[in-house]
Amino acid sequence: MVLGSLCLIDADVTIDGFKYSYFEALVTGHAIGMCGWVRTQEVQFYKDASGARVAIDLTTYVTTGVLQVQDATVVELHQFASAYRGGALGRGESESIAMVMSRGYYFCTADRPAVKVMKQLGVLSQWVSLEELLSSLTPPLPIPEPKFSRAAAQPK
Amino acid sequence: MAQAKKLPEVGQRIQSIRERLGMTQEAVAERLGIPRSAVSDIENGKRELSATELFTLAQMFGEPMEHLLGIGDFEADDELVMLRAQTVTAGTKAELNRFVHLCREYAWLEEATGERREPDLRPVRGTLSTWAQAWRLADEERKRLGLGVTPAHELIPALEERAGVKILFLPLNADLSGASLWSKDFGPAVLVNKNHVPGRRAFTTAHEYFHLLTEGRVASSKGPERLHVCSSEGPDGKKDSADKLADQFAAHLLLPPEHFVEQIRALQNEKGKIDPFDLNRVGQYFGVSTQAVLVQMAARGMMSWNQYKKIYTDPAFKERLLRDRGREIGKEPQRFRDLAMKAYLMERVSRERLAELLGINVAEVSEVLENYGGVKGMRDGVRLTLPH
Repeated sequence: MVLGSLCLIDADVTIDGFKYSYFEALVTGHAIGMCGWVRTQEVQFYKDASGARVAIDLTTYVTTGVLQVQDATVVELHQFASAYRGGALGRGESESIAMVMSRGYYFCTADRPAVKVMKQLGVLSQWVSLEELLSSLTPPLPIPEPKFSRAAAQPK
Repeated sequence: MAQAKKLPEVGQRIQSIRERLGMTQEAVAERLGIPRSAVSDIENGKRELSATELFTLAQMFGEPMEHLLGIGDFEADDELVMLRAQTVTAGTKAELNRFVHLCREYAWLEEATGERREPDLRPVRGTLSTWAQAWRLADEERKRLGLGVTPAHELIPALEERAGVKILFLPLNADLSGASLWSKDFGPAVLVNKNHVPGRRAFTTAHEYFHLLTEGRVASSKGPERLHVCSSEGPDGKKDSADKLADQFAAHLLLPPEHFVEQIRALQNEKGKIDPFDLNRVGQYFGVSTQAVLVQMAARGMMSWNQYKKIYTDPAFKERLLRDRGREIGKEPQRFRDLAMKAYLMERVSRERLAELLGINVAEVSEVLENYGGVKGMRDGVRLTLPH
């Protein structure tokens, strides 16, 4: 799979990327980005098998440009919030989908409510599952949990 | 073009909210990590605002993002008009704003999950003026809500589930005990300072419930207030007459007289005396503070007010009290959390939104779900049964 534009990833995909060790391969194999809110407020740590917190440091990925951090503008947020008033999404998802709408980016999430909103806003074609991203790497990687398959998050 | 058109409006709105809350540009600059001049530029529409900055300001002001963006009819809301009139600090105003915002979220969750509760309160008719009237009202409410002999342990679920009162515990400034509000949008709601000890939180909940029932109809009081804010003590340590009656109502509601006297009698030794340290256990049994127990004993003539003062100001007693407070376990409101969980399981909210509603990090959601009745991985087709 070759994406024609930047693919934003949500907090869950990022956090699990460190938990299941696919993050490095993901960001080096595709043009991956993240919205400012997810970068600064949400991706802080993951919990290992024993339940202990393990800190996540994205600094190197960001400074080397492997991971692109993009901030939505107020106008983009306004356009999103005017078009969608459902209250189902968090701030990171709202910021990401705002940029999907205005900049033509892709968005990788395994959260069905977020995918439903993308469908409602007419940008479902810009949704990418983690399964698609990992399977198109060289070598391909399996998804660590069934929730990351396209079928699991596809709106019914 | 659109950018140029929208920015000044957002900036003006930010300035208007900041000034209403009594916050300085310096405070906003510090929170955003930018120079004060940049805040001025944002307010004047000269500097672009990022989504992260907008979200941070919304959190700081206790406002929904949509309000800052000018989406929705927030300005017309009378709760905010009431907030403007309060003579409280900037921080407290933001906390009250957050309370109102969370009450709206609460109401939205009720709608989204089909769990809406119609308020079932019996507001008093006429004006209350005596302790005896407050006590009678407490007796009636204890019976009506089916609170049993230790009401503090059952009060919060009873008010949430049966009376339809929205109750939220939030960390507030130490000088603020709580607040109550009857909104045309989301009904009756109570805010309680989460930082206070459990016994005190129960007392505040009952105190605020009195304000919802009386709606300011108390002789010689400030009169009707849609939003009632309770400081730990009034100016110069003086309380409004409505607050004095609310204290009597709360104490009588939480310490049913007959059972209270029984418990105190059981502490008497063969000489008919009581070890003051044992009163802490009575407080824990009833789910109230030891001070509330002492005040009730004095109010009911079981000891003199001088004795009360002597015991309460004794350094050894205070030290023991502080130690015992650390062991207190109190019930917190569960309904907002239950509704958020149910909304997630019904796919009405995303995982990230659930984390925001619960005030946790996204990385902690799995663990919370796992601990919540073993619902991990059961999102599809699960309908959570909530306690009624």
